[in-house]
Amino acid sequence: VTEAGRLHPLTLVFEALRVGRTFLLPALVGGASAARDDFGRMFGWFLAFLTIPALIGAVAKYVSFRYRLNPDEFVLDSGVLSRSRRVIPLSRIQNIDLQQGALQRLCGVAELRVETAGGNQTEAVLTVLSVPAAEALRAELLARRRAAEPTEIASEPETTRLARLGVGELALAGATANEVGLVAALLGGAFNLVLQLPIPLPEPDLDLEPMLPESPALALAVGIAVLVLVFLVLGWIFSVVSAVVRYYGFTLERTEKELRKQYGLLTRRQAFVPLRRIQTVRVEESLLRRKLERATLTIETAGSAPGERQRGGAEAFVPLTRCRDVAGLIAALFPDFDYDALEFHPVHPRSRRRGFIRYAVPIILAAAVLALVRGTDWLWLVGLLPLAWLAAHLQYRHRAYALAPGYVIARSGFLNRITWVVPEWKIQTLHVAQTPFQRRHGLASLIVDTAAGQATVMDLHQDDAAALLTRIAERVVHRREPAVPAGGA
Amino acid sequence: LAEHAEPSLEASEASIPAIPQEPPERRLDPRVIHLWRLGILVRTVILAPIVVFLGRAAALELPWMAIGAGVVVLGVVLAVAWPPARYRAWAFRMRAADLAVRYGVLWKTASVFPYSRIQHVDTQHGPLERSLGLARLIVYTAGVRGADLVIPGLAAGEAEALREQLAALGGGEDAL
Repeated sequence: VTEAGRLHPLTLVFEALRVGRTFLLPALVGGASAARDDFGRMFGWFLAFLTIPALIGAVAKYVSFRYRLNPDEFVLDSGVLSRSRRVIPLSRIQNIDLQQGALQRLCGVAELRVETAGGNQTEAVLTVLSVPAAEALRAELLARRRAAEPTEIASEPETTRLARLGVGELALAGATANEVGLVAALLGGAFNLVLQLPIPLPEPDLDLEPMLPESPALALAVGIAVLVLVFLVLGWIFSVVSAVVRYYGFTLERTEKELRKQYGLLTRRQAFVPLRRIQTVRVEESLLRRKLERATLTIETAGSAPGERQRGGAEAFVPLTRCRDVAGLIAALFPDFDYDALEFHPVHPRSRRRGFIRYAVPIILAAAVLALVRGTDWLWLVGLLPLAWLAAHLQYRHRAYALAPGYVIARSGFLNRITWVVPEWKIQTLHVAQTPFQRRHGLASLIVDTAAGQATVMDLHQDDAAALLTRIAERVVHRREPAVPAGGA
Repeated sequence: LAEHAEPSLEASEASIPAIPQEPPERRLDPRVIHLWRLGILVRTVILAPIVVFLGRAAALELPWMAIGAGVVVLGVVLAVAWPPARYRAWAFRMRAADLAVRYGVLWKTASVFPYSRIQHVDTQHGPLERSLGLARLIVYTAGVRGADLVIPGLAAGEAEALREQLAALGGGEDAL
């Protein structure tokens, strides 16, 4: 039994920075207007108010955090008001990673992350330790784990490289990413700025001057349009640069039992995913990326980690890949699965009618109400109905499902088409759900639930949905995880 | 995309027995109708005065007493009609390898909970349920949607028996 260890005092600084980063973007948007109007100032105060408990939490974490290494377990204590203790049996430790951001590198500190295998054990994150302390702890953990489990020693496992992304591909990934939130935030800031400028934007030295009419309203409109454009372009460039910086040098390797991902220009990241924790694989193809024959692969793991990095257990597996490589990549995870051989079945055609009704009802209601209140001009809204039909049609065309031996596949979405690949041995429960609106058309949805999210096939014929439920249920019961989960890739 | 076609059976499935002899559907204890009815009435009694009070406090010129009375009438109608319909919609079936349930009057759901995916099983009963001799059975899985199935309104003894039965059938292996 060793003495209890503590985090490095710089933990305070890094925790504070982490809190700061969370609020940075909104703070910038608010800050743009803070000087002039009350709303901006209030927004700033509001953010500051939100920051206080987070900062207190950071201090509490540093003060209360203790770790101890017992002969066969790693014990972490934390919490001031409600103390919590996490005990990680050394034999269950899968990986111990050191991670260093650029700033952490300068300060000589590192983050130690302990990943455990199987189940939904949360990995432990020690932020931050001094580099010598972190390395010593890692060496000690590894040594003791080896002692605890002598079979696991030696022989570096054989690795296969699955993917490697160059700067070009990464730039493409950034250029085609949907950074909607970011663009919206930038647009919001731009709008706020423009509204507060005393003079319409275009300066005399811009060529726009001769075109400007006397009307200040039009000048303002032009100014706004220019600014919006500038911000859109800036946002896009930011997206490209951030994708390259974030994923620089991306490589994906597979060992016998896990996936290993390395990437990052400033912060070098190494991520490990035990293969057997993978619940589903998602293939995401936005409209733009479909045209470019590119896709994003995401894996969902049963990470019950309440902590920082894991967003709902989903993790980009490959940020961008050629569509023709998708099958090979998925086969590296599920060797008996052939993505290219799938035969997709469409959902019921009445799905289209139902979709149309769902879009049309609000349009018609809005048109009717506005026509009554504001005058019949508003009836032009009815002209949107063909668009509603088109949307419903496209949505229907991209809804599909497929069954492969051992796998259930669901697909949906036109603008961002997502294909879920769910291994049967990961299915938890199955549902057929029917809303009153679906019942009118004799439709129902099939929902395949796993420990990391669900795949839904909307608007099947209700009899088909029931038959599929029965059929998949039988297969789930008979299906076990392949005894040897994988051969080579 | 292929044309809308019947999914074809794979050869590997030929060995699976066509349709197992299904046990009959089991229903909830009919006393649950009283429980639900009481629940609706209690909520109505609480809600109606709140509506009247808030309406008046907001100083909107509306006949608030009449609206309150309307809430009461609506509550009574619901209390009469809804619980029997909900009772009729609820059924479950202990099949060979899974628990199949169906429920819902307007929003209908049919679900399958394979025994091998059950993490643990609880019974619970509140004071009102206890006074009626009823209990709830809660089945937990590791899933995201409907991760915990609640079978309401079982006779207390039946709920206990089901819990023992399901606990024995389920779990055991790491379902993740």
